[in-house]
Amino acid sequence: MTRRIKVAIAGLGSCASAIIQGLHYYKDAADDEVIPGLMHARFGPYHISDIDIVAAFDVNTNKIGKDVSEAIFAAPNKTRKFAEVPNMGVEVLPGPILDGVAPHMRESFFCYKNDDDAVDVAHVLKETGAEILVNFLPVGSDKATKAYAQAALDAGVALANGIPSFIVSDPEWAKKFEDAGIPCAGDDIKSQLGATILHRVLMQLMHDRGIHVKETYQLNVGGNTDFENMKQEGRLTTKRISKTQAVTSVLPYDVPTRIGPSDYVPFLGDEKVCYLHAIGHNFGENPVNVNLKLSVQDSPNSAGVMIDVIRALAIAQDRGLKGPMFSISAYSFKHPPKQIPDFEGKEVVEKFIRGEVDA
Amino acid sequence: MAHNTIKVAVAGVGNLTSALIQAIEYYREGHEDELMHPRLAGFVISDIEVVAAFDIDSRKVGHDLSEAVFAAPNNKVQVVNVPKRGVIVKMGPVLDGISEYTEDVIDVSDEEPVNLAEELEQSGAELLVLNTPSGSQKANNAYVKAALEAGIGLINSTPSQVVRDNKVVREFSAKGLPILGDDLQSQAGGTVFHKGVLEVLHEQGIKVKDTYQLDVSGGLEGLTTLDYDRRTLKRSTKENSIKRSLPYETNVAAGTTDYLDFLGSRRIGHYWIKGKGFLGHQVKIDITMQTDDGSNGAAALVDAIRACKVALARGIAGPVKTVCAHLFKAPPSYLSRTDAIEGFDEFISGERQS
Repeated sequence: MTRRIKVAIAGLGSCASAIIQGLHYYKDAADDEVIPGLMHARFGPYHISDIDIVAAFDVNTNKIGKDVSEAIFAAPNKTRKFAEVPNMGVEVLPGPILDGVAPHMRESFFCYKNDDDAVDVAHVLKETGAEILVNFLPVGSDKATKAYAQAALDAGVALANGIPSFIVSDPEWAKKFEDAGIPCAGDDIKSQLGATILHRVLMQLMHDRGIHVKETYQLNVGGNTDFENMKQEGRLTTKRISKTQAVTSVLPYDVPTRIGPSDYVPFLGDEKVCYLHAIGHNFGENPVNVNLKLSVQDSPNSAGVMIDVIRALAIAQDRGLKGPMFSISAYSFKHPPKQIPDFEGKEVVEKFIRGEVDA
Repeated sequence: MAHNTIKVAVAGVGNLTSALIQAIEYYREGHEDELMHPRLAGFVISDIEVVAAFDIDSRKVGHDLSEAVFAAPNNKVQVVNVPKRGVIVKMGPVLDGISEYTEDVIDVSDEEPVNLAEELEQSGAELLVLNTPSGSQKANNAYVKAALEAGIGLINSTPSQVVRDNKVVREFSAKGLPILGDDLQSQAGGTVFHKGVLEVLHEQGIKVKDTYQLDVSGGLEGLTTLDYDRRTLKRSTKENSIKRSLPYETNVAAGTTDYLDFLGSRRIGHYWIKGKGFLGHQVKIDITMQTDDGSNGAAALVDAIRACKVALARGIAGPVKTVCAHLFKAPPSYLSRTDAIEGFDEFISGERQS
C-alpha cells in the first residue's frame, strides 16, 4: 500500500503547467505502459497518479488567488494545453520576490508590488502537509532559491531544484539537508531530449570514435519567458556554468566551447531551437564537421523528468535517506553533485529504485 | 593619363580595415574572379591608397598601418604580404568606442587624441571611412565633424546614424560633399542573402510568416554586440532592411546572437524561414552559411570607396541614393535589391546623378 506524495511548487510557470497537465493526462496509465518522458508509469511503488499538488507559490497577479488548475494557463505561460485539469482546490499564494524577478521582467511576469505581502513559505509547507518542494523559479533567482531552500529545511520538506542556482551541488547547502535528515535532488533539470543531453552524447561519441574535437558550440533560442528572462547576461552566469560543465566534463581535454541561451525570439513562443556545431579531426588530421538542429516544445520537455525526480525523492523519504540523492541527480539534472556517464545514469537510477544503491 | 589614385582615411583599424588593406595588395596581382566590379568607373581596387588611419588601441596607435592591421585583437587571417607605406596609425577619440564587453580586450593607448581635421587635411585624404565598432555614435560624430571641416567625402560602414541624420546630410550637401551609408552590407552577407531568399519566395507566391537569421562570430564586432543596447541598434537596421524585402508584415529576428572567440573572423549564420504555399501547405527552410567577416565587408567597401570617388569627381553633394541602397543596410531611402543594383550601375556609368 503506497501513500500519496504531497508536492508544493515554487514558480507556477510553463514547466509547472506541463507537470500538472501530465499528472492528469497519464493518471489512468497502466503500470507497464510506456510513457514518453517517464522512466516508468510506476516508479518503484509509486504510480504517476499518486502525486498530489498541495501548494503553489508565484509572484504573478494573474495567478495569485486563482486555483492552480486555472493559473497554469494564465499569461505569460505558454505551454500548449494538452490535458483538461479539473479544479484542484489549491489556491496560488504570493511567494517572496527577492531576485526572482529581474527589473526587465516585472511587466512580463505581472509581478505583484510589495514583497511584504509574501506568505511565510515554511509555514504554508507545514500547514499543507507538503513533503516535497519543487523549485521552478526563473533562472538567476539565487536569493529567492535560497529562501525557498531554507523554508524547505525549516519545514522538513525534501527539495527538487529545477534551476541553476546551486543548492544540491553546493557542499554547504548539501550538508544542511544532510544534517536536517532531508533528501534533495538537483541542480538544473535536464530535459527529456534537450540540447545538453544531445551535446553530451555527441561529444562522447566523437571521443569514443577517436575524433579529436577542435571546437564546439551550442546556440539556443526561444520565445518564452525563460529566454526573455535570460536576455540579461548577469542572470546567466550560473546557467552558462551548468550547461557548459555538463558538456565539457565529457571530454578529458580542453576544447574551445561556447554554450548558452543565446537569444530571445518572441515569435517562437514555447518552441525552442538549438544549433549544435562541432569540428574535429580524424585520422591524418582530416576535418569532421557536425551541424545539427533540434527543435522542441520547451516546457513539456522537462516535465516527465521532474515527475520521476519527485517519486525518487518519495522513495528516499520512505527509506530515511538524507542529503543529495546522487543517482537521480546525475540522471535528471545538468549540474549534479556528481556526474555519471549518461548511459550508466539510467541503470544507476534503476538500482536506486530496487534499493541496491543508497543515494 | 596619370595614374589615378583614391586617397582614403580610415577610422578604426579592425578586421574590416585589415581586409581593405590586404585587398589593395591582393588585387594588384590579378585574382578578379570574385569581384563584383573588377574595374569601377575606370578604377581598380589597387588604385585605393590609405593615407591616414586612426585607432585607440596601443597595439595599433604609433605603429605602421601595415603592421597594425595584424595586431590583436584583430583576427582576420593574413592572406597577403603588406609592405610598409609609411602611414602611422594616429590616436583617435575614445568616447563610446568601447563597451563594457570590449574594455578587457581593448588596450587603450596613453597617447593624446590628435586633431582629426588637421590630420585629415595634411594627409591629403579625399574621403574618410568609418570602420569603428557598432554603437560608437559619439566617436563617429567627432569623425563626421572632422571630415566636414577638412572638406572631404564620408563613408559610414557602421550602424550609427550618419546618412540618416538630416542635419549631417544638410551640412555635407551645403559643402558639396558626398556621403554614403549607413551600415555596410557585406558581399555575401546575412542581410543581402536573407533578402534575396525572401524575394524569391515572394515572387513564387509563398507567404512568409516567421523568419530568423542568427549569426555567431569571433570578431570584436560579435563581442561588442553582446551588449544588449548595441545589439538592439545593430539589429534594428538589419531587421528593417530585411522586412522591406516583403510588402507585408512578417516576424523577423536577425543579427549577431553570440560571440565565440575561437571562430576568429569566421561568421556562421543559421537561417530559418517558415511560410505558407498553395493550399495552405507549409514551407520550411533551414540554411547554414559560413563566411569571413572582414573580407565579406571589404568586398562592398572597395565598391563604396570607388563610387564615392566618382561622386567627388562629379561634384555630387549629399547621399548618393542608389549607391547607399545597393551597398548599405540602412540607406536614406530603400530600393528593391534588383532596382538598387541597376541604379548603382547607371550611376557609375553616368546615366543618372544619384
